[in-house]
Amino acid sequence: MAIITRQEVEHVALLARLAFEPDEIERFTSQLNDILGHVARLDDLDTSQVAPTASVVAGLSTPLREDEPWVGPLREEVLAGAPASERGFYRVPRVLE
Amino acid sequence: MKLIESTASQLVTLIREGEVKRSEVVEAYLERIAAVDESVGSFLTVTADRARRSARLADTVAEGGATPAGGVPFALKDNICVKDVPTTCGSRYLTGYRPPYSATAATRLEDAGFLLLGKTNCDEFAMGSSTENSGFHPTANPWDLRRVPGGSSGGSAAAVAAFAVPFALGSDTGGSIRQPASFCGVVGLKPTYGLVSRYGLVAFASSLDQIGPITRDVTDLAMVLGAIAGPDPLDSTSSRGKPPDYTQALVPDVDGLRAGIPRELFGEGIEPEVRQRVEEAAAVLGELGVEIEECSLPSAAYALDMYYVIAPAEASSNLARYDGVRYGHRAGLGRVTPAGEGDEGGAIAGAEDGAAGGAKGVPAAAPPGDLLSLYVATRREGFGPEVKRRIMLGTYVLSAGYYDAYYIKAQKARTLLRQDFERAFGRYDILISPTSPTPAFPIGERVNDPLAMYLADLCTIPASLAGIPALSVPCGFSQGLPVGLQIMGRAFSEETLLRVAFAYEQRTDHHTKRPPLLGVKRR
Amino acid sequence: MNGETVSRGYEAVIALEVHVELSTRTKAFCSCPTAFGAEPNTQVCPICLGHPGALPSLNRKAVEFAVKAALALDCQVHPESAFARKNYFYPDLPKGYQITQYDRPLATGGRLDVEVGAETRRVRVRRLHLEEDTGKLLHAGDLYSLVDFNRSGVPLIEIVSEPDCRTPAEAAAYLETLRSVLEYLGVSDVRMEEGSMRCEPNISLRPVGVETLGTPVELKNLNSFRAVERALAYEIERQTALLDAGRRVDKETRRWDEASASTKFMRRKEGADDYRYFPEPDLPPLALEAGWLECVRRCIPELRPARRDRLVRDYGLPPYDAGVLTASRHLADYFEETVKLLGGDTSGTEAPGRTAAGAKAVSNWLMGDVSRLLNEAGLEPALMRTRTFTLPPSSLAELVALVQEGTISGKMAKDVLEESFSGGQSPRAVVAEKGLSQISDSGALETIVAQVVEGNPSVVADLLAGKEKAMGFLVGQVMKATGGKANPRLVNEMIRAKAGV
Repeated sequence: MAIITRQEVEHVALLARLAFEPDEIERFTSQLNDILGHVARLDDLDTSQVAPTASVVAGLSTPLREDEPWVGPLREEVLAGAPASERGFYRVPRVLE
Repeated sequence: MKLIESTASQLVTLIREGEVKRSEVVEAYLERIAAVDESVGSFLTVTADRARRSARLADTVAEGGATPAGGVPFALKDNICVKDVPTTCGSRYLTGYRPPYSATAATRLEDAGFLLLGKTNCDEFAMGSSTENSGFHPTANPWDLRRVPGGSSGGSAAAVAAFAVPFALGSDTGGSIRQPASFCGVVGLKPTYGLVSRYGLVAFASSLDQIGPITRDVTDLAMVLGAIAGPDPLDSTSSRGKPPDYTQALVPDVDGLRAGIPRELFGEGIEPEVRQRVEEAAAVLGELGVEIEECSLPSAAYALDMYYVIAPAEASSNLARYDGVRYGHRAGLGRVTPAGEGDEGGAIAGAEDGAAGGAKGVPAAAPPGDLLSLYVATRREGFGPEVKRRIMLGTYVLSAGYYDAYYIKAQKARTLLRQDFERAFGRYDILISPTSPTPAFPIGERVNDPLAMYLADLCTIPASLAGIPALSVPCGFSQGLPVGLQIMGRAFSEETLLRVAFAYEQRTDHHTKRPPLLGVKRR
Repeated sequence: MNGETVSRGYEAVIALEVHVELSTRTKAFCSCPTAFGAEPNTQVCPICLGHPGALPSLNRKAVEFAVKAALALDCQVHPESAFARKNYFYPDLPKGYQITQYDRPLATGGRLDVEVGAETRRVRVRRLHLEEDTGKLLHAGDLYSLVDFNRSGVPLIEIVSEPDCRTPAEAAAYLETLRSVLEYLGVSDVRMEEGSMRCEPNISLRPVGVETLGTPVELKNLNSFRAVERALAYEIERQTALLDAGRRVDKETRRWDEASASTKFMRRKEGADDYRYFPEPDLPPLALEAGWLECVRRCIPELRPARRDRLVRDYGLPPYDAGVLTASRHLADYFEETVKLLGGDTSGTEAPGRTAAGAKAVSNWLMGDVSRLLNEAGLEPALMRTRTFTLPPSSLAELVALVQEGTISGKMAKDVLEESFSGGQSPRAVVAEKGLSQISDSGALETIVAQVVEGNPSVVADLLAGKEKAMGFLVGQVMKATGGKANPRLVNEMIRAKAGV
């Protein structure tokens, strides 16, 4: 019995901005089903009395930072690794609204 | 040869006493890397110039009478950022990427006078248990070159085991320091979550990731831990208190301690010889005065399942930034180059250039004309199958309709596990288990069977989920392959773990054994 | 159409989602500066660029500002709240997720009392939470878009109202009032035209008397309160027409198009995008100490209604004046500082009733000529409080004092004001330089007044007959003879005395 269908796999792929060849989808669907099948064992556990783990470090709360500006990197450094840039901006294919 | 057989602590002393110069030490290790790394394949980048320069400078300062510290070379897993040094995380996506900043842990080591010698190979984005998922090449286990070194910090563990570097840092999310340390016969520690800053550690699963040391013995472990632990305002999950001096814990007195062996981590999946080695180790601890008995962590039987929901979920979000816009690969720009002649394995580039020789063959397509295609093609080309698998799994368990059933359920189960540990630590000071159910398996054996691969982390995952510290120390061999003993403790009980491991190490000689294949003499 | 609740049998139900940029010096999760107008990608770092390995670090001031806003809106501020990740792909979102608050927001359950015409309506605030802004996308031609990450990570608060507004006017009034509160708190510049305040209304129609809500339509691209009002009015028309024709209103997002004064379809709301919210693992829960909350509460400045009342009470101002002066907190601050300086004027005599008269004078100047000059120069009241403003409170106080002393006439003062405003010199300096001191010495004027009165017997007769216009002529003659420098009030008095009025 499949837990996740091929269609769902395709939908998830779109959400994750991934794409696969048909045979890859087959393989992924099968592997994901195996893993999800295993993971379903969690249903054996009675978790009705507990809250989800919010933070592993007990008793820690968000540390707050002072509102003091720092000097950041130079733009040349920043854009040096950019795949595409123009006039100080990062460049991407046209975004259609 | 002799120099490289010294431990990091011994080298620090030799250097401080003027017996040897830093430059000599650096050359010795570079020579060793040249000799062995073609077979082992630990390194993606060797930062020879940087190490030589820093060594020369520190030597000059020392000649002038000042006593700079450290002086010992080290390696960093390639998912730890160093400014302007290629950092690939074992992924083709980040081929050529040079971070604009350094990780806090890296900066602390260099500030303490240690010398960065190179970046080591790992499973892509730290996802894996064998380093076979590296986008560049697998790393070999120095004890048997046809076997995996473990993962995901396989490069770091193999480098230390092969004497190519005195110590290294790795990262551990579900066992990625401990399991390779165990496979390679070296010592590795996953610290308490929050003890070591994650700033600059490329995130895989944020609530599980920790940086930790991989060393040849426990004394070195204490030294390195001391150099990197401590609060960091740049990491909001780092703990606040000032860490103790870990070297003070190196006292082999464990009389009266109580140790539990959780049966869930010592069950049928454990290979017989591994079981025997661990039982022998328990006996040694018993001789040292430790009281040992079996105990139970009922939820630990489900730890793998919790992990394979939570970790991929966080990973799917952490890896969304790899979209081709600001850095790294972008489809159509031909940056990810197909593997060329002589490009295989290892990267002893004389210059700093380096990230890894070659990517697996990827044809350069025409630049995508629309945004969606850009994202999809970039990620398709840049990521390997295991990363894609985990992103898919993670996206699925977070998606509408499944979030409660999977993610929330797993986080609740995690709370049960943490309660089990708390109960156990109410009675025991430490918990012990094998680090891994088996010793190193052959390269290629599990790479096509994800579930089988995941089982390698059976013993290490529970400590990760609970955020508690866990250490792996060599405890013998199974048919010539190292076996590791895992020692776990309460949060921030690294001193206890070090004490137990040190006492055990003093009583045994496993840490003195050397991989025969690589020609380093036994002591 | 704007003011009517009922549109051919339907009731409009309007909820407003407002995003406000907090005026902190640094971003929400990194220490990059937030100052406006920088060159693209010069206020960025590995954190707000989403580089591998970077981690967020929360700005204390952002929390303080958010809490202030929540308290001023009468919300319940939760001692513990948590951050979450909202996951989606877009070029201006560097991490591929936005750090926001989802199921455990900073504050819930507040309200804002809004004056709409003569009535006061209460609009409830559902929630207020902290989040980070995205970068900015610019469209450059057909093939490319350009991205600037300077704004990426700027702290925002999102304020969501309950669907309590029933008319476009109410919605606009809610926004005005909200803007005023936030401006008074000093937590944001709150300028819609600049994007430091953004509004996305949700509007649905339902038949009058029906409980169930209709299908909501979300509106975007509204750059002013006026646009909000017009867009909502348009939507009411559009949806009414659909419903009347027996058709359905689709759940969608529509874009306001200023040029055609209409809303246009943009996209289906909540389509394939599943944000997969989950708790942000890089930030532990935000815990606020009771003591700190109290401290913030005490530091909330006087808000507009209270200030308006106090100006009436303490300065004897008419309610109308108080209303105008408190439209902007900066204007009100300027007013009070000017009056304070006037009160401590070095002329020496402290007449108790003088404060009220002085306050009124200052008020008149501010409401009249000063506002005019500001408008002409295109300046915002906020700028009146900067060190480089040409007419600081001390200057206006000086001007009023000069008139009160009789050194210059009210008419002359207008000229002096303009000089001061454009040149930046103090009024006394302007008067000295231009020799504008008016003649207030009756002795000096005796001769001239006598000449004018004796030289214009028919006009004086008119004056005695009760024609006040005659006074104007006579005063004018004295002013002409003195080159405009005589103190008109004094001249008036002297003429009356001389003529025997």
